Amino acid sequence: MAFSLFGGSDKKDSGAAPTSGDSSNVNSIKENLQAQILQEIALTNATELISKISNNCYEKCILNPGSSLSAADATCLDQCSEKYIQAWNTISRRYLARVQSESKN
Amino acid sequence: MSQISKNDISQLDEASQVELLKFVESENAKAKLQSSIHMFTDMCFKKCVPTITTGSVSPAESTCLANCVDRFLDTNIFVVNKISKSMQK
Repeated sequence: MAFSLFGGSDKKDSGAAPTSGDSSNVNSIKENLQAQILQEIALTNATELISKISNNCYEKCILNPGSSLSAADATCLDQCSEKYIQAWNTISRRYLARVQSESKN
Repeated sequence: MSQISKNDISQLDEASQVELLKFVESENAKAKLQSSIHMFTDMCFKKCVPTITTGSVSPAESTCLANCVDRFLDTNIFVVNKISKSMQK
């Protein structure tokens, strides 16, 4: 998979002795930083998805905003969210396949 | 969880700093792909899913979504080629 092109070899041990601090401390700092970065990325991704689903499904489901969210509105929002996530997965697969085939040429 | 500080990074040996830099570069590349996927999904959902009657994407919608991404990328390549040709003149 394209995703693990660079990230997959984290575990490699270069054998070089650390020049400062003990190696377990250095490792825990490094792993901590990596975990924080991954968490930030996951949060950004989730925020983006929520925002896109809200915009698209509001557009499609809430045609006449009433005084409360009707049961029909809620059903539509539920189905729309499911559809959006499926569409995201379809497009993700298609795009990554295309990126890989283009990079071979 | 504590925030990333300059102090943390300065405590790392050079090999770890290089490794961290590579990690950031690769995560950055992945984030760019993710961001494109968000953009395409937004664009193609609008084009291909006109009404919500069920909770799953129909085969016709699925084909439309796939074509939508492919033709967008074709369009992008077409424009790049056209502009680069006109710049060579």
